[in-house]
Amino acid sequence: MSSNPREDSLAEKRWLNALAKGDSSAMNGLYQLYGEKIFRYTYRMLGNRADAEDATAETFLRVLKRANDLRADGAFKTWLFRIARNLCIDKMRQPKLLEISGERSYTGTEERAALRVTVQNALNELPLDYREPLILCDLEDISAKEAADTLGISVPALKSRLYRGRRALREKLGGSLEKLK
Amino acid sequence: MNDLYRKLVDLYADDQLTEEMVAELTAAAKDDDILKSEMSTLKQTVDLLKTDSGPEFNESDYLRIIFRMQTAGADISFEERESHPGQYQLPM
Repeated sequence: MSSNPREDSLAEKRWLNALAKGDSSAMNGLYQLYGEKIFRYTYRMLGNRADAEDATAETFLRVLKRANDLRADGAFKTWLFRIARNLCIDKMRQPKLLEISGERSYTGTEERAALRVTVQNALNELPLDYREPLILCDLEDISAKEAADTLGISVPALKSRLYRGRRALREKLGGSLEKLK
Repeated sequence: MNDLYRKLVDLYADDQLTEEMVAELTAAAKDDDILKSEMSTLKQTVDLLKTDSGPEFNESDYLRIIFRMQTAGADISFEERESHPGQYQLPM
């Protein structure tokens, strides 16, 4: 994604129109536009790379299946996140055959990487109602309206969960926050 | 800490307060250690999240996901990641 939302919105419109006309390169365009965002979101929801890759691929496969019904009406991004969310929730319900811990997925200085792992672990311990608004609004910088639409709740309800989630996360982080001072 | 302060601290951490309100809250926190700690730790938590660059998404991840889609029968080609994905290439 570019850093310009207007540019992204125009690109989204072009790719969706091209996809509806059967242009196979359009799928690649949409994947390049949103693939990383969806991967990061699913990774944060699921906590591991393999499941995040599966969920990301499946999200875009659903786009392909619905190619003829998609409309460039500005709601595509929310729809895409909603699909990814539902897939993540389905995956969370499945029993895990093998839990791989200590996966190295964060780069940067050792201290920074360790802190990110601490944040991810603390997030994983939060109830889903709190975790989702934090991932969407604070980590992925999605607007409150888009996040509320993705979760199927009102903006005030989203804000309430977000604020409670932040406080709950703060409690989990406790000592790690102290070290930042 | 009362409910009003609690709500104000939430808004403060969310950068939703006006400069005047931030100044008032900061002034109130000078004589209130609990409020001061609330403001600082909640803001730190939010800043920590907002500056988290997230899990790495590298070329291998990018290609593995395309491969998964292809395996499932999707008509999607291996293309190099573009620096400007918004640019639509006109068919030749």
